[in-house]
Amino acid sequence: MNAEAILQVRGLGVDFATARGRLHALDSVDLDVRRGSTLAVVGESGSGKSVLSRTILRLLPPSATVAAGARILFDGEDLLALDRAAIRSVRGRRIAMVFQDPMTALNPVRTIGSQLSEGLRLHLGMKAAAAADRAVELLATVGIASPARRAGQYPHQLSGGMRQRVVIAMAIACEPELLIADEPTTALDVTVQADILDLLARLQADRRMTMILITHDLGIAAGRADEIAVMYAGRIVEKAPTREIFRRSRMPYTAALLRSIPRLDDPPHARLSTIPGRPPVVFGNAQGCGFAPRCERVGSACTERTPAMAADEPGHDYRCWHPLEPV
Amino acid sequence: MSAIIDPPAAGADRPEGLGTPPPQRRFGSFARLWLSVAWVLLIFGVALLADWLPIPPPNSMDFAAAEQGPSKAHLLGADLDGRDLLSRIAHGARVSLTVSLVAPAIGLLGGSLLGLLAAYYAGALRVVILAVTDAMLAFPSLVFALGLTAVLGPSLRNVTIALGIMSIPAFARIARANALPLIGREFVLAARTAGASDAYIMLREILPNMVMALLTYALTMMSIMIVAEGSLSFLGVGVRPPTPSWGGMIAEGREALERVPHVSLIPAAVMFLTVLSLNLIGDHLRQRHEAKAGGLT
Amino acid sequence: MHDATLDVEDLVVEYPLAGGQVLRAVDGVSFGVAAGETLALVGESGCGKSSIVRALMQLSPYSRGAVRIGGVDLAKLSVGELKQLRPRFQMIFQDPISSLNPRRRIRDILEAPLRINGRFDPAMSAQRIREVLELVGVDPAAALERYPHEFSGGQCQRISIARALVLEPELLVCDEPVSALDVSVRAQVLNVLNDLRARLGLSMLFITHDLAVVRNVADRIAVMYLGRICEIGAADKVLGQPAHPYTACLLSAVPVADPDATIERTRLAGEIPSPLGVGPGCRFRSRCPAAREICARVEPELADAGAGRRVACHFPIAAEH
Repeated sequence: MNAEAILQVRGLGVDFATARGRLHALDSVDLDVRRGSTLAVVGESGSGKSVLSRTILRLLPPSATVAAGARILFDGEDLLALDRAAIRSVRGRRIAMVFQDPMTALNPVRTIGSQLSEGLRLHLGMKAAAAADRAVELLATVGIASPARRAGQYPHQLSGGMRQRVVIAMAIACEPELLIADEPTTALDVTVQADILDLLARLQADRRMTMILITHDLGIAAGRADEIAVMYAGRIVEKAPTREIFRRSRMPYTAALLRSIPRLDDPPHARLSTIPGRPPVVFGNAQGCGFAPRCERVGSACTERTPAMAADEPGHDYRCWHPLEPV
Repeated sequence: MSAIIDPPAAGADRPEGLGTPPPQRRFGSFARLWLSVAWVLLIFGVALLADWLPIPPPNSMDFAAAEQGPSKAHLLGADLDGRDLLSRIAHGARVSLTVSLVAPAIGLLGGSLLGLLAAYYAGALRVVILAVTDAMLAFPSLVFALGLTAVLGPSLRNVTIALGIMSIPAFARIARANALPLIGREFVLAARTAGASDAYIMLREILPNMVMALLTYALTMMSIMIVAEGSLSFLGVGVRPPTPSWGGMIAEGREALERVPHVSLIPAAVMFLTVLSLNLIGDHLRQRHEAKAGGLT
Repeated sequence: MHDATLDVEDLVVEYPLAGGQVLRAVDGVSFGVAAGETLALVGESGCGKSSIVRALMQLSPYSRGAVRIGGVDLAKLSVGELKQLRPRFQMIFQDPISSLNPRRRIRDILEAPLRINGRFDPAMSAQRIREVLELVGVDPAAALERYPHEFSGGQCQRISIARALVLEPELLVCDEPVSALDVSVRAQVLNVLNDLRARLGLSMLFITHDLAVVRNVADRIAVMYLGRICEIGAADKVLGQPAHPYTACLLSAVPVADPDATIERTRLAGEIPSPLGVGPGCRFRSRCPAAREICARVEPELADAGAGRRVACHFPIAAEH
């Protein structure tokens, strides 16, 4: 167990009961996140990356079941064992979350300032006037011009980028130790996206905050993350420092994904390498590697037994029976 | 992911599962549905076969059996004039079912057309259609039906037409509400870029996507119509005697309610069960329709 | 450019707002797409690219300007004449699931354009439908009798492309066709589009905000900002040596899937201003790092910058040789 890890996930599995049977959203997820670092969780539809982020904060619907024996240790304390009052005091205070669509986090009929100060009053017990002042300070911290004026405005009066800044302000208001950002910039323009990611990096450095960044965009992961965890069909299939993932990926899915992305330095009309088929949604019992039906290195073991997490070098884990050779 | 809910913990120590099991299809809901369907089919069957059932004709008066409860000769008893209740209920079912099928059909066709037009075209047409439907919705509906039958004369046909016209505005509103989000969808744009005419788009692209919602509402309307017809007959301005109708039968037994309650209560119970069954079937359809429309994320 | 497949001249699209104001979403845009060429229209929110698409497909009205297909001005046609011309320019959309009528089978969906245009013939149409499905890599036997909800996003998008091809168009307008798809599926659809370009000689107008996708599909690029084109030229020139400061800034903001890439980010001040508040002078001046006094007074026109490139800037970035 890494003494520096602020978050340790062990054996996490999550099922959903649906009309079509039990949907395995997460399976045997183990994760360590070092304090102060940025982990990017990368995956496509059905990979389980969003479910993972919501499970940490216990934000799952009633139809979800967490595997018995799963543990999520935050600073040594098991989040899954906390009662409701305890988890509520962790949420927003020690662990905060930023979602893709700022409008789901913002109440359209209340002013920005009042929504910001609400968290301050609830979690930090500040008085109304002090909370209002602090709210304006926070807006300035996240780069909103004329913060005092903006505090009196409603969400619909702000652009998408500004709303996301407000949501970030709300998230950091109580100085959380861990920030989970679930596709925070997917709905934004590319220039605004870069600004928001810069802001998050700056805040993280200033406050020594740990960040988990959930994204489908490998470019964002490359530029902003210290470590990357690649997810497929509910499992982590590779986890390594960023450069390792890009230069020496071991799991064929990671390599295939990297090859299929169009790049600015490709020749024009280049034929892109594709992965046949599409990402699966896993119902029923999942034995064997989830990527087997699409993998070009598939062997007989791949469909029968689920590969366990292995590591040839410390810090670079992968889940594959026929990993790519290190270059 | 949809709801952000903190599921209830099982106890103070380690909560099990962190989630309650999904709402199972309990035996109860299936039974409700199939009992409702069975009852509706029964009523239909009885109405269709009324003339051939081994029961006395609805209007033949058997004074000896007047006001009697259920017996071998009269399975559901007899009314104040000795007429067989079962027979009258069977023939009355024809009235109720005719109204409940034809009137909503009028509303469905007329309302869908108006609603679709009001959604697709802006400008004067929309304004006029909405104004007219709003006015009709604001008008007390039973008074309107009363007035119409008073002018045209009470008969099954006129009652049906009056109730049908009354239901057009509600259908129009529902049709419009369902059509509006469909009009901006990409498959409609694709049809436009292929050169499709407005009529083609409305009938072949938009309407098929509205059908389920409209039919579900029509089913609800059926039960409302039965009650409406019953009310009109109860007030004496619906179908005229001697044609039996459920509402009329309830009215006839009113004067002797304390003495022989079955004369009113049996037709009332039949009407109640029929309306309830239609509502349960409509609920079930609506749930299934909404589940499909929502979909799995 | 009368032999061009598509020629847009001085297009102006305005939306009336409450209070008598008018929002000019597209302010005098001109560009052309030659036969067999792919032009990418790139820009962020509010640049007007969606309005341009709706206007040129004749889905929404426009106040001024001409849209010509093969030299014919669409606005001057009667309803019947326009319908006859429509098969020559078809469109695919951003949301693949919403592009197909959930109540109709794939066979109906693909036959519909033929029926609408009176070109339906039982034998030949069945053949044509099979052909277009094979062109996009979807197995006809497996697909024709199914409904859209039985297919994935990537497959739905390919079926949409097949539908657009049924009428044998010369021009395919693609509105963010891969933005809603998973990363590993995007490559499939982009390959299909590139194939079609090569095999059928299709012209394409490709709208997107993703510059890496642009690199893959486009021959020429037009970069838009607040309703005007600021730079237009050959793709490798514009991407390799951007002349307009906004283009340079856009490029520097694109995340690159390479941890060792060092990109000097050109930071822009503020956010995209409201299109209503565009004053005199260059509309980019409020955020431009290179803005000078003249930029606030005179709006730069698109001027020739050599090698087929045109830039609307008083001080375009000089190319390094």
